[in-house]
Amino acid sequence: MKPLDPRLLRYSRSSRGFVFLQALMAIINAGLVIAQSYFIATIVVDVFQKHFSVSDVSANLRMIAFIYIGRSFASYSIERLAASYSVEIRNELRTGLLNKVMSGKSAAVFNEGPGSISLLATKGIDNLDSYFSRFLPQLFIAAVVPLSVGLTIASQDKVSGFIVIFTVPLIPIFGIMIGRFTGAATEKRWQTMSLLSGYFLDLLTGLPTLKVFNRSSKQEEKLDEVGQRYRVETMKVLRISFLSSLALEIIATLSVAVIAVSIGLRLVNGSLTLKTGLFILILSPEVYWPIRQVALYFHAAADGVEAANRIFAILEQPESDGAGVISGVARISWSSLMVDFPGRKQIVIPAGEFLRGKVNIVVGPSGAGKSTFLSLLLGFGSNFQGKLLISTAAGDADIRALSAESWRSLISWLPQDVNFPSGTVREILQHAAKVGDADLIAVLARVGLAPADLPMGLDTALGTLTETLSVGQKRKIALARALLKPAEILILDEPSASVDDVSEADIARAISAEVAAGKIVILVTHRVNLIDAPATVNFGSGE
Amino acid sequence: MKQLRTFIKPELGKILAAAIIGGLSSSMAVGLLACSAWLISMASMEPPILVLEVAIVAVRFFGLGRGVLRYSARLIEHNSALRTLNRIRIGIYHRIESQLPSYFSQLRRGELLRHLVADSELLQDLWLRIANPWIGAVISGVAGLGIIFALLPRLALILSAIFVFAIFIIPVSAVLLSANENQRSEESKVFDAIIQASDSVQESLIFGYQDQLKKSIAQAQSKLNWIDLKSGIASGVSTAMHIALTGMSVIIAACYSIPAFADKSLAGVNVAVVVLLPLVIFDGLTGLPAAFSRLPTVQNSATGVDKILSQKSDEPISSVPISGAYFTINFSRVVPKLPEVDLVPYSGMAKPGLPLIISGKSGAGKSSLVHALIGFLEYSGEILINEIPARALSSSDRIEHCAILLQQDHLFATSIRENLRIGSPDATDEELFAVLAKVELAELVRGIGLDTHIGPYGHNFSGGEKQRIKLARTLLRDRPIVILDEPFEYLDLEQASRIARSVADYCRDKTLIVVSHLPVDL
Repeated sequence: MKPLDPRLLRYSRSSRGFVFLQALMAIINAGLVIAQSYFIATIVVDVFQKHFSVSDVSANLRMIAFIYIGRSFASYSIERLAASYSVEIRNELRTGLLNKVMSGKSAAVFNEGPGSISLLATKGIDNLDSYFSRFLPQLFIAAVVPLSVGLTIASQDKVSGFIVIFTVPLIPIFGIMIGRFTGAATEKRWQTMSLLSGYFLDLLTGLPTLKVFNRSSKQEEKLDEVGQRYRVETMKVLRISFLSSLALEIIATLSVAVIAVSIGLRLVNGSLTLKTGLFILILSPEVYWPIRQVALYFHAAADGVEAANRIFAILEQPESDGAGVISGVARISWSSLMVDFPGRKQIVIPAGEFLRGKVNIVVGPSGAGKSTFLSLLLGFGSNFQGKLLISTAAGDADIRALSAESWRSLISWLPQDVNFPSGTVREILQHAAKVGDADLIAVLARVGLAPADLPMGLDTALGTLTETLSVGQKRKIALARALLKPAEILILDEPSASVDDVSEADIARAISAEVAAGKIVILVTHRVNLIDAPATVNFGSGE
Repeated sequence: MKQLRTFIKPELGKILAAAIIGGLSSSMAVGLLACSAWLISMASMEPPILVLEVAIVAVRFFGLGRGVLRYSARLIEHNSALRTLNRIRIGIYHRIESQLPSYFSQLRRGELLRHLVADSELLQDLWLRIANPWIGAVISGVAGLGIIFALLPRLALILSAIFVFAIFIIPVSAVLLSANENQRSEESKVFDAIIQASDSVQESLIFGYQDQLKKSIAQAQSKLNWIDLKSGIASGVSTAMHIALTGMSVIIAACYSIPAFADKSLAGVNVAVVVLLPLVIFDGLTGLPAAFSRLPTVQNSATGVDKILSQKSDEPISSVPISGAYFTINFSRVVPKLPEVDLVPYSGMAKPGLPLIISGKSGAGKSSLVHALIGFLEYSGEILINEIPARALSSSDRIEHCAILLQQDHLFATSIRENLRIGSPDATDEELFAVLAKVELAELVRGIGLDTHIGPYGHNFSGGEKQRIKLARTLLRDRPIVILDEPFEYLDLEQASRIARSVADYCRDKTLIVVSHLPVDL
């Protein structure tokens, strides 16, 4: 992991100010720490050797008071700045990520899946908090304080300076060596932890299933067994990582002890003054402590950086969009299309065409690529081989040459898995067309739904956790929405799935009306008897 | 928190031991500083080297001891944390398992479970990050104050007062200043908004409501940002207080030790010790503000978990188990009780050779009838199993005779073999392939192997394939009653009717109930 990724500065404008301010605060902090040690050492020596009274040292005491007030203010500012910048930077990254995902312009992003995107945008980005508010400030302190304190020590006493120069690099060197050695183990620790919680969640989710197989109480023993196994595994890994921090701590403590002993011995033979000795003694832990602290925050931060890397990878995905604007589509035709899908073998879609004035039916066994093809047709995913041509009076254009926005304005769609945003039935239908209640009721009637069927009529809330509509009712509303949009192309994915028999005739009638109105109607269905005399495209290469 | 406490109790001794060892480790740091300050002051008086040797050995002892003790404390407390977490997991599982009917409707909403899992993991922060560091800070503070007390009792009393103030006020102010909001529920609102948005990228682009989705994410997020900011400020204020109190103590120590040195009640070599010790006495408090600013969140999690753990077990129904291989099931005017929905009474009968097909409008409560039959839902009317009212039988006694395919059945993130064996734990591979053949999956599975994993890291099964694996699992559980809720979803009509025929054939001598919105020919 890079401690400070330059991509961060590129993608988050706020991070630039943050980095600058943190560096500044670290320098101020270093100055205050050195000054504080100097004044404390001076007072002790003045009292011990020169027998000064309180009033004699009052000027220095006042300095110490000021320094502590300054340090306390500086610490507050560091934490305060870190907190607000952390919020700001995470907001920028989250917005950037969501804009990228929601633009629908990058096929690779689309393949990530909503679950993993949501996790990344919430937990992943929140993991960055410890990176911004703990690790990064500490990183700057570790870069500035040991250096300036080390130089101060060297300027006061060359021997201690040498000890510092030889021992300080030991911490990062050992840190890196241990990191190399334990890296795999640490990785494994995070893996086992997330595996176990995944296993637990999986088990709880599947409890009803286990219950109906009368297996749920047996699974309790298994849960215990798996938990114990993971605990032993995790402890093995923890032992290694705690040992490595023990090693770092011992290096730091022994270095301080070596300095203290060497100062003591040289004080005895009088080659060093007590004031210098004490000053260095108070300062010396400050050389090692910040570096060790960075190592301490490293793991917490590593999770965040991992998330950041994945976000950057998504943000760097190429976007594709054409510029062509068309209307009056008469025909959609395609050569044999090859689509690569991560984790699955290549999908090959046989050549075919859709015509205006016909109901174009797509059939084929599950897994033959029907959904993939629809996705291409909707303008998501340009990563395929072959030609997908849209024909108008002005000629043919490949779908990849069209502006996605203008192309989608020609399409209306009933998805297989409907996912409404929060809102009332009225609001959701009006996304498709801004029309009045009378028109909304008319279009609902076309799919066999009357406002009286819905608990609150057009004001019934959808997309909330308390919604009361059945799957079938929701699909009908989605179908109504698809019919309502003034589009040239109407794509219906399984319009009759989860809808009872009674309304199938209604749906068939609605579809015929759309064809008569001059739309290209594309129907993906398992139920061919829905429509008379369709144009059929078969994706099945034969099972 | 009563119930939760009983789960932590078995490890409490070890957790406390770890806290004390951790405190001793910090006390070593106190000893280290006191010793080195004394060593250097003494050295400047050019004493015989032997006097110094003792201090040098002590410095090394404290230096090494600190690291070693810290190491053992961390090992002990993490081991206890993992053990406790494990116990809590099992407790949660057990409570939900034993009262499935009351949780059933909530289980369908994955978010409850997600929170429960996250909450249980957050619990260990209670001692790993909050309680134990606090105890450690107290112990090392007492050690430092003890040394000062031995040298200059008056000063020790004043510094003790400041220390006591700090050890309570700093954590309390961190808690009070942080936003005392239910962070987790805000987090889940954001998560839900984001998952909704990323779930409907295509829909929102086609129907043009992206701005609405983005706005609702931003709204949910702003509350969370405020919480984060508040806890940053809280921790900043407490840290500032901590540093200010340290400075104050150093100055007070100087002011007291100077006259004490003058009137010979404090030896010269100890001046440095007394002035420097306040620097480390307060050291243990360093991480506390940040940790305590998270206390409200951790407490929320604890309350959530405790709520689950405190649920009383449902009264077991003293049912007389029914036996036999021939079952008649009779629904008469059954209305499953669902909140906010009024269902139409349902009547029907199933027996071997006479399958019952429950079809009807979507939203008519077909699945709820199944849930009522197996005891997952209350109902009015009567369900008779071999003339015995179903209510008189416990849910598990009913299920014992049934092979059930639920509409929201779950495939576990494990191999195909393990998933199928839930239906029949001792089934051989041959038997598995035989049942896979019934659902037209034998070919596919033979190709990829029974060990292929299902789920996010495994084979990317299509909806129809998953549905057929679930059906195969149910058929493997060879029972006299077979209940299938929407078994042919995601299948094309031709395949559905082929599989329906093979299922009907298999169930010839069984009592079969099928819920389907499609007209199936059995």
